[in-house]
Amino acid sequence: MNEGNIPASLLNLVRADLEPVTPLPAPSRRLLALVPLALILFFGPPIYWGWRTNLALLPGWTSWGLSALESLGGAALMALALRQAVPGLAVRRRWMWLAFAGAALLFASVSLTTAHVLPTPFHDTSSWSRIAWECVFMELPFVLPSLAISAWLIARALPTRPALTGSAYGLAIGLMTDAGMRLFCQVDQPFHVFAAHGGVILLGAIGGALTATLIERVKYRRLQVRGGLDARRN
Amino acid sequence: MSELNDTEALDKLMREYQQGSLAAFEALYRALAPRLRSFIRTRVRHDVRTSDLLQEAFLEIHRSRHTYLSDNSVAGWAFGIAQNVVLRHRHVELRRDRHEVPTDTLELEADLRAADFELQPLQEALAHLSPDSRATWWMRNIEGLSFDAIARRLGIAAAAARLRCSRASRALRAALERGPDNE
Repeated sequence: MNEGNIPASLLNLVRADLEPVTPLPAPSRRLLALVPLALILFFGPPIYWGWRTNLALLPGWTSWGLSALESLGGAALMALALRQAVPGLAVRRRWMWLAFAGAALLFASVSLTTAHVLPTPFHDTSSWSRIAWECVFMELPFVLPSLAISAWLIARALPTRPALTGSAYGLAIGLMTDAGMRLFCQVDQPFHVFAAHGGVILLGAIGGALTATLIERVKYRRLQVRGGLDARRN
Repeated sequence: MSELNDTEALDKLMREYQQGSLAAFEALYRALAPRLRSFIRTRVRHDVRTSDLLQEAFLEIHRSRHTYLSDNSVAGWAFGIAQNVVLRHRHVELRRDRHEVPTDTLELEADLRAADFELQPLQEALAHLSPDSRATWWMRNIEGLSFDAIARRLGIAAAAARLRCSRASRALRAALERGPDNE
């Protein structure tokens, strides 16, 4: 086949839709545009639901410091996801898994350090599941709209591995939300934090992966219909 | 054209293409198509599918032209998209394979007999292989299936399919080198 000859069907499709496009901003600029979201996720839960009653008992580095660290960890993961979503800029899969492991380690370290500095054991063990559910439901109003924003970011770009990129977005949002939630939730008992707060982070990652996969599948289907690829293959 | 100039020229073409220039798209196609074809060909090992996927890659390039970030490598970006297209194709194939009824090796034998290819020496060499080896080699090299898909069809492990195919290829090469007179 002579590569200089563009297939007529392709050329017609391109010719029919050749409007000027606005290039996507660089991942760093897109990350800067997400700073307001990070601030909402950081300050939103404690302002909306109320500050933790034992905040004054925690040293500043444990409350604000570790929350800021967790939020920054989320932002770093978000930066990686934004980069991953642009063709040609994607990092290797092993780096993504390493970043996921780092995020899990960060969450565990922040939670265990806080529990060590200010242990808050359950006196009434029968209420732990109710409190856990409360935390989950209080966190969801912040996580779900953020996931919708990440879905929009994915729809605008073209991730090579949508599930991996989507879970990075979800994990990043989960971490950033938890950074705010730990300024609201006064229970630092590890079991509660890992089950309820960690559960929401995990849900965010799974939700992100599913949303991204679904969006990419729809986009692929549209591409096939548009290009008449099904007709040529069958 | 030096590599640097090539990179700069492609970047300039890409920016013109983003502004709506058809001539820039045509020039980009001429510059990138051979490289993308080779990239896809090494991954799918099937000429017809390579052509389909090349066209799909350019469609995706067109649809996602806004994702190209100026001053980055156009080739790297295009290869990223081609990689995306190949991976999606593999997922679709995998899903299709899962829903297909496993094909009997006898059916493949019939295909082989019916195939009207003019490569008489290859046909003769294939005839010397065992039915299982022949079926494996056929599915890998003619149908372009993955080892996982072959393994599912034949009800064997993927590693066994890989080994069987490798042995079949070696036996075929040896038979072709010997020629029909020395058999």
